[in-house]
Amino acid sequence: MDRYQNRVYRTILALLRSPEDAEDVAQEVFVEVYQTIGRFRGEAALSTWLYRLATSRALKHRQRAQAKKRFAYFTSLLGFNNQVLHEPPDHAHPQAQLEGQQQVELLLAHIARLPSQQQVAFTLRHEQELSYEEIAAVLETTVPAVESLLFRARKTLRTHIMLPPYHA
Amino acid sequence: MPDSAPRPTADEDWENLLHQWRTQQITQPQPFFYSRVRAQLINEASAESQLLPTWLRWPSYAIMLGIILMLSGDGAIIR
Repeated sequence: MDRYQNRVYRTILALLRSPEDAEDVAQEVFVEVYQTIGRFRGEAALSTWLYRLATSRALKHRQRAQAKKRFAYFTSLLGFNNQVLHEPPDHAHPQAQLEGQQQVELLLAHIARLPSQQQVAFTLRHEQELSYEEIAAVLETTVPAVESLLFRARKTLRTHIMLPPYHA
Repeated sequence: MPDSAPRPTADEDWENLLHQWRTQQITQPQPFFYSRVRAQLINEASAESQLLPTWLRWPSYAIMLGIILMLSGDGAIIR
């Protein structure tokens, strides 16, 4: 399992963007792996099974976090608490001249807005460098479907991310 | 001939950005990750093992309560 630990963690981190949350979800994944490894029948590669668990757990975690955030916002509107909600800064201004880390942050912010299947496909392809066949196995779909997901994801992201002009 | 490096294309900029993403990402969890996983496994296992005896105790609590009520009453129910 050692060899998969970092891959699982990085995949979850790419989807959640919070090292603390990624660590929690990675722990949940490995606990589930140890509890259910006996039921793993080897129909898929172990890595496929792990990626499938990691991505589904990460997406569930984010859905729960978003629901919690919406509830907190709703209760704050009703005045149930006076807690100030801090929104992450929006770097999406089209004229923003973002460099290095900021550009990556912008990319991650836009990946997070993609539909779930596109997010997973894009992350597995470009962060984990999996093949189309491997991604299709993780998502339990076909290679043409993965190609379509990646095409739409890239198109959306490249439309939103305006890279700054090159300074020679 | 131009004396400066050619300007990268939009595709190259895009590939550079994806490369930055891969290289800037934190590569591994905090140390002792497996110790924490093991601790969580032990916690969950002990929680599961305690679950059955807890449920088994409920009927015995109910019977004990019934006996106490019967013995401690003034006999109104029995009469």
